[in-house]
Amino acid sequence: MSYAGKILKIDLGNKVIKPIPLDERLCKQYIGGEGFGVKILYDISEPNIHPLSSKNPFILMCGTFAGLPIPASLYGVFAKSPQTQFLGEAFAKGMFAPELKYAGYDGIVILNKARDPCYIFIEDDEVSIRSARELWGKDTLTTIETLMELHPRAEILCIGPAGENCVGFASIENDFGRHAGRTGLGAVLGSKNVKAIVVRGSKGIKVNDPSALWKELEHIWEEEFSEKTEKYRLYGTPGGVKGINEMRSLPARNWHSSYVEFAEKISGEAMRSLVKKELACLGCFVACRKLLKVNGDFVEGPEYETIYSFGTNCLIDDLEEIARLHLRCDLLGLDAISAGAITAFAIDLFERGRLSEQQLGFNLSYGDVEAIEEFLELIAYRKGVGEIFARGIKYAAEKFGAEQLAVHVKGLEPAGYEARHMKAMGLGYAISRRGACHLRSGGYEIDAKFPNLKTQERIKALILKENQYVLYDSFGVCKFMRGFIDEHYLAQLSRVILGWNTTPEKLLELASNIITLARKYNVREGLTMQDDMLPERLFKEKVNGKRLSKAAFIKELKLYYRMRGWSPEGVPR
Amino acid sequence: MHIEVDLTKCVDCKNCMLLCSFFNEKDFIPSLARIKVLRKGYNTFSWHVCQQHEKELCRQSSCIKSCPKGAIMKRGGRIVIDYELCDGCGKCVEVCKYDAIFIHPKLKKPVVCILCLNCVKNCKRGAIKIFEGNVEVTEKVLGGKR
Ligand code: SF4
Ligand code: SF4
Repeated sequence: MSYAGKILKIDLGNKVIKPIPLDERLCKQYIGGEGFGVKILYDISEPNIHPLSSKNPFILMCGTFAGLPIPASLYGVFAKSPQTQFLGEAFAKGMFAPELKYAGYDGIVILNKARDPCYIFIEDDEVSIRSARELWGKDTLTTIETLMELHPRAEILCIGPAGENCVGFASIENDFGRHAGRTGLGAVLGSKNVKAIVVRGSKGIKVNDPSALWKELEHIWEEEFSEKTEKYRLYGTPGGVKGINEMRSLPARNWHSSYVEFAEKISGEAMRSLVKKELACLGCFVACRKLLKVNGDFVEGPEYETIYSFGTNCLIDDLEEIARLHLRCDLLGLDAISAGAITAFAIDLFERGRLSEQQLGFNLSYGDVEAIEEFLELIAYRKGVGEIFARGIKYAAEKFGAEQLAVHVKGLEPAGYEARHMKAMGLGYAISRRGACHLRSGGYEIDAKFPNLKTQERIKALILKENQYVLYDSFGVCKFMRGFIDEHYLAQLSRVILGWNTTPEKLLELASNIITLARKYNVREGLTMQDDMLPERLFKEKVNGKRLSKAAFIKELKLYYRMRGWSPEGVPR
Repeated sequence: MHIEVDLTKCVDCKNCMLLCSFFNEKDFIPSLARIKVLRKGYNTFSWHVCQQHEKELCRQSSCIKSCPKGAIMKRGGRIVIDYELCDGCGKCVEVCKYDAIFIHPKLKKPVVCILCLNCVKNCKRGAIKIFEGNVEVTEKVLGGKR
């Protein structure tokens, strides 16, 4: 029920394609989506492989509830990350995961490398590997449009030039504007010579108790128009810009500041006048996605995170310009958070004379949109000094001897929440299995709602959130529904949709196990406590009068390990 | 009576398609929905559903006229297909200007909207409307090339 029942295994080396029946025990222990992804990656990966070698598997798993008329259309991709060298995972919603389930698969495991550029075409039981020679080198939107003409009504996921060139933070794009952006898994697809996956399905999804589902649908739809989702409905994610700025927690100027004067200008409220159409993922009435018209061009986005990464972090105070860079990242297939953050880092280097005009071929300064666009091209095509940045911020920082300036954890740049002001978010960045990510724990919400929690209470709240977030990513539920969907409601939905009698406590326990398994993967890849450290700068440099105490942070980190049941060094027992 | 989709209000969530298929097929499977809301390009959106009113446009090329077996007829304002008479030749699919009638992959015969109005009731964005009589069809495609 609700599962499609098969996982598609594709070996690009010998072109063997095999559907494998889904194991019932896997479902009951790992739920779906992220749970499946982490488990399969852990089981089939050889330790310490090069992320871009043919040995690195590429795994795509659909959320358990994907394909139903509820906001739960997520898929996750998993592999060893070329950006962090640890667990790589990224998620996106839209039509792709549902369509894959309609074709009869809960996920895809891709092994080895194709000799020539190819795309994978899936139509129910017919699966083929086709030549993508014509598509290689094309930007993401052109790729999607071309494939759509070839295969009407199919759903498409693809990489851009950055993925082809194996840039450390290359993204994967689906639905004209949804991205599995973080940790550079677009490069893993690129290394396998896979340009796109095209899927069309004609099988249906069944649920356990249709009449009970009707009742839940009514409830979900009501909440989708309630105040709990209002911000996303009206402004999309940029609805957060003004509030976070007022909390002095919006990182700016490569994290040298945490507040900008021009927040109003680049806020979700300001963006509303540019919105031409609101868009949603499958099954969602909230429609947080906004299609804008900017200088005659249509752009889906920008999101809160691009407004931070290019807007405040690179000091661009014009929404239309930010949208333009957002679109540029989309077309090239770059993760827009990392791209913006590494650009701010490069500007910082430039201003300090550590990166020269000679090396770059042009001047790079805050707010210079043209230069930034050029810089992004250098990275995506690994031209000149772009080659160094294309390997990610950690490598670049070492190359330039500028570790003190770079803000990242495990090689992944953080999202737009200032850790010096947001302690739960800070710890969240540190312990996140994929590097400094806001969506493994959503710690910023704890800081915003309960800023005065005692340490132990704060960590407890963070662990609960972390577990809940794993449930969202496993069931495939959109995190913007967190206002009314929690573990209790997920247990309820499991009964109705899957016929699985489970409890909220049990679900949280499963989530906790998934996090520990991910930790084991990372430890196997050589992760130590040192990799969980926040960037030095956050301990040394003050923003708005605040910096973190290193001793206190290490204490918190150890306490977190203990509360997770790991050793004092952070190793699961 | 006929239904239309207002693309300026539609958010492309496809709930209408999911519920249509659930009602008519007992499964969630949007490709078998009788109403279709599609995103065909970065900025191209369109909708497809049977316009079952006596409109000049539809009468000229209507599925009813095209059927060599006389299997499609109108009963109480709805299109009804007599599956005993229909042999699945697909002529009706060819002539439909709205891309609203299609061959069901399992049935091997055409299916079309039966005006159950599930989509209308459940589009909480209020994008699907019911019209009585001869009303101009609203924009079928929104946007254009990127
Ligand atoms: S709230 Fe936004 S991201 Fe979430 S399902 Fe709806 S449209 Fe998609
Ligand atoms: S349910 Fe309404 S908003 Fe959603 S796709 Fe259908 S017409 Fe559009």
